[in-house]
Amino acid sequence: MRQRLADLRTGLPVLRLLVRRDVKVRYADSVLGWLWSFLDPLLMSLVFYLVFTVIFRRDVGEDPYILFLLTGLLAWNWTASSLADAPRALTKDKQLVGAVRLPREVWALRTVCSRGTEYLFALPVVVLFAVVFTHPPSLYVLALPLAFGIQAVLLVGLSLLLSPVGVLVTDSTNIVALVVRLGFYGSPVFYGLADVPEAVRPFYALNPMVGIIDLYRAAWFPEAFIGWGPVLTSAVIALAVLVVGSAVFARLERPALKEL
Amino acid sequence: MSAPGAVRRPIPPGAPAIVVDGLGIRFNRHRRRKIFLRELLSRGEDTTPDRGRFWPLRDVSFTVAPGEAVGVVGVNGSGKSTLLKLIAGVLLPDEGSVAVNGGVAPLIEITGGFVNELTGRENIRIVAALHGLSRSQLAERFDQIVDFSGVGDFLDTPFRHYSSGMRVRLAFSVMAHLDEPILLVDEVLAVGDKAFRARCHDKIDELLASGRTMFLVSHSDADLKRFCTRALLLERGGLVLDGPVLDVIERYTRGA
Repeated sequence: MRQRLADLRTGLPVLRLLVRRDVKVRYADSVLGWLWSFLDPLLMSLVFYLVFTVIFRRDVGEDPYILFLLTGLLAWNWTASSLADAPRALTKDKQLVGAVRLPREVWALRTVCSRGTEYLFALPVVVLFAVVFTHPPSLYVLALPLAFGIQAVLLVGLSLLLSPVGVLVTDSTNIVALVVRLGFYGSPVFYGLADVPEAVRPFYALNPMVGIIDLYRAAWFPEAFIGWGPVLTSAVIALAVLVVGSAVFARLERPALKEL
Repeated sequence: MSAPGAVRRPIPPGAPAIVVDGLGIRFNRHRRRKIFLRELLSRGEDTTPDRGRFWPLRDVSFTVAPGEAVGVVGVNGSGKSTLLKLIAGVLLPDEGSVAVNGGVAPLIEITGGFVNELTGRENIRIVAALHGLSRSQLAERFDQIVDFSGVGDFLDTPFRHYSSGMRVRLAFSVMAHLDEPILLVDEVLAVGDKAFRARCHDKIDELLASGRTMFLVSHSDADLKRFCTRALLLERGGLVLDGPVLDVIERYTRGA
């Protein structure tokens, strides 16, 4: 374990490089470039906004609703896109994986970091809406790095778990896609944790995204923050996922490399 | 073992560059999903005989001194490329060990790190750094790399517009300008036009003269004789002969 961590340190400069390359490649041939990283969630938020303010009478979430939506949707998108990439983390660049001697964990970390960078690029749009609606942040803004950190640990764990499995079991891509689609409704994205019946909350909070999104939102909607319980649950689950993910990765790395 | 980017210890005089000891790797003919469950649930080595398994390489041991140029000979499927990948550290052995003293420049699938969407210039920067070349080292060598590859005007063109020959030329050029003390060359000499091949040969001569250790997989007797002093003959995954290159080629030709 210690050896693996030491090896991983040597892979960090390469990781930074791969992430930079991903970002470059993503926008190399597009006209709107990095605008896409927030255009996409912005349009999605507009759709939800229209559906829930014009068609339905909304009684969930907080005001301004578009800000409420965006904080949840951007965080959720990081998870969704990282998970979608994870089973392909080793196969997508298999020639490179087969030609460069690197700690293989780098490939799993890379998808999370690339998508995380995209998430950070998109965050200004949240600030923009906060300014437009003159909605000042609360003190919980200081806890944002914590929410980001818990989410990063969770995603790294899932990515370590899924990247070798994705090589060996091709249906993992479909399974992950399904889980992500369901997870969208099972996470407080277009509604808030406060809208979930109190009796169900402890079970609901077993989805680690619940505590994470609730903490992100506390920065703008402190009155709707349920408390630190769900956050703690998320942190514990994220760490457990990281441990399991590392163990599975260590065990399946060898056979996965042979199957590339 | 060192990874790219690690501090490379200078090779102490007399210490071997590569030590391969009882090396073996097991492949599996089963469906991948079966491998998945088996590997996930089994702890350690499972020794039950199994018809679905085979060993592309087994019980291979040898030592290479720094500065040696070693050829690897054998029919298709005898385990040559697998051996190279194990030395490069991109496959992990199931038995035995590989110890490599210093970094490795693998000329295996050399165009692997290049992306179609980016230009030649961007690709050179990224691939060189992936293989552990620092920014300042690259700045020094950038012009040499470009000159050697002969891509000229295409430097700022996306890689996807390159001809396959140009791709290989650029990739070879980057790999040949790395600092790694050990070169692993897998058949790349067979591509490119005549003029470029001659330049590749000169470049390899130059690298060998500067004390690099080289491992060359080739089906060309001429290349083997030109660069190597020693050769390994692989047969069905086993090392059957390790000796002077002429003896090995003779034995191989006789056997084939």
